[in-house]
Amino acid sequence: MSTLLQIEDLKTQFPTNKGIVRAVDGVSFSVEAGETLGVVGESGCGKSVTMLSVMRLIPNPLLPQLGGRIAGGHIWFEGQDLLALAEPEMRKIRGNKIAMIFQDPMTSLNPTMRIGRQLTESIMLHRGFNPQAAKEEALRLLELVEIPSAAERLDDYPYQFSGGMRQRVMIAIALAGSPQLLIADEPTTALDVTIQAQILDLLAGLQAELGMAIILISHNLGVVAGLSNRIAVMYAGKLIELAPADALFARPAHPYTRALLNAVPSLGASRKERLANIPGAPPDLIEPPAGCRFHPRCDCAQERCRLQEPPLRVIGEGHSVACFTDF
Amino acid sequence: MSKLRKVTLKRALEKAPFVIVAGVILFLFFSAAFPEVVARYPHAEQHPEDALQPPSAKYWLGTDQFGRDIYSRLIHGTRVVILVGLGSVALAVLIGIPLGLLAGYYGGLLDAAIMRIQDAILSFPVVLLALLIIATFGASTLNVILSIAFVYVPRFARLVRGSVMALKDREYVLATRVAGADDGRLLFLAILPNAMGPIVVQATLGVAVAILIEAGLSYLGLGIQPPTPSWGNMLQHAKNYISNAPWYVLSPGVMIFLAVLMFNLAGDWLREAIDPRLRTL
Repeated sequence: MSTLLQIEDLKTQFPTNKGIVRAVDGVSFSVEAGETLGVVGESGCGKSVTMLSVMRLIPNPLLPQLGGRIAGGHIWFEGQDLLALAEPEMRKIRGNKIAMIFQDPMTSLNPTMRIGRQLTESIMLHRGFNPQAAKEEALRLLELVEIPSAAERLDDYPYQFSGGMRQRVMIAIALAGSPQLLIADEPTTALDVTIQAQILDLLAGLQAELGMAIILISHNLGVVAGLSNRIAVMYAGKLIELAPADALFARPAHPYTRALLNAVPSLGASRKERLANIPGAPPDLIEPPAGCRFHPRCDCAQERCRLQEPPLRVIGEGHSVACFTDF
Repeated sequence: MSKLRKVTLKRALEKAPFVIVAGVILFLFFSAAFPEVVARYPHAEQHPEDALQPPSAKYWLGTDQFGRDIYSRLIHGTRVVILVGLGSVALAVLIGIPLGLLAGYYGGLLDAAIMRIQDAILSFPVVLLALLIIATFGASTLNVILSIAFVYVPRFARLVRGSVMALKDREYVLATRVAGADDGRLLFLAILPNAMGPIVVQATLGVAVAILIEAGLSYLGLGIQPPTPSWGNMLQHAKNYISNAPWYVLSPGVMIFLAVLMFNLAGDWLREAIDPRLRTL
């Protein structure tokens, strides 16, 4: 397999009145063509900001008051550094080679435009189809994402779709440019559990059929587990563990990963058992703790964890971890 | 007809008063287009022997001081009323929307530059500013339209700017950008259509106010000039005969009231009909 996306030492920062928030601080990982990379971590750990950086949407051109800048690093995609591209070049990549779907399908579709038109706009923009061909392609995409009686639904508005159906439409729009990489930012968080499973199955099926790579972001390990080849765990703006999915679940190496796995409720557990949690709160990203960022919450922290930042080191086949301790 | 249009139409028809409002407005438009069909006499035809007659079978709403049929003059007056009402608002919308889009979308210095000019215009009382423009450039139908449009541009610019700013951080706008859209697509496909509801409402209400301003200017003798009849200048002449011919002053007054009321009601209903989110129920 060849490397599709290579992120090198990415640093994304947000200036605030209190200081600079280092939302993503030196993250490196790669995505192979056709694979699924799961990215997990709690809210605010930098998952979404990393992906918005890949899309070059930081700072958001529409909301410059939110600020933010990519302070360093490289994002290589098919041999080009996305961070060096001019905006018009980047527009040809967005939605075309790299597509993205968001958490809340209820608000991610344009409420005043018919579904068919939202699809054909993207198809014509990226593939230069004429309106008739684009309409046929839109129909094909809606059928691909398994929307029942797709032909009749092209003329419907978003409000006429349920949440799960809207997420299917979002996926169809994302597929309009035949992307090589689909970034799914918590695609099932806003949906109920049965619909979640359907959407995840759909994504897996589409990947098998179309061969695109998927980055699946979630704070839910269960969502990521079934679909991912490899899993990246982020904490406080850092990548702390990267492993093949089965290795991560079988031999989690970072205390944070182990605590996360430990906190997943299991169906068999007795009711009296309290859910395991991770004591403390995620650190302040303006002045993160010195040394390992997890040490204030880690039950096996040693003296050097407070002083020195553990580098990412390889501990097995495709398995690396940022921790001094061997387990 | 699509399923959706049928639903919209049905909802509209359920409101019986809608028929009255639509009927009156259609009647006004028709009168403006073909006054000679609706009116019974040419607007300037004088019947000196019948001056200041009360309403009768011959003169439905009586006659004025020159024996001209008031009903016919009201009908002939609708053309100028509709022309000024729609023309000035259309012009204000055409200028105000792009200004508001630019200011709201790009923000920063451009926003400050555009909006401070709008604020300056807004700081003048509407009629006073219109009067000033008419007094400077002379009274004519075109100048009345231009002056009302000028006064109205900031209202639309401000409304559009506010909507754009509110819509900018919606997820579907981000999603549209993520799909590779440039500024133009984003503005005209994702943002403007979602801001149209309030613009349409404001425009319809604007027509009502423009009719009022035109009537006011004409009443002061600075609007539509005789012999072209307008409800405002009819009112001006009628006030001299208020004690011996009260029907004369009543007719244009009631017409102005009706037109303003109908456009106001139409604005409210249009808002409901045009917003797809309100169609769900």
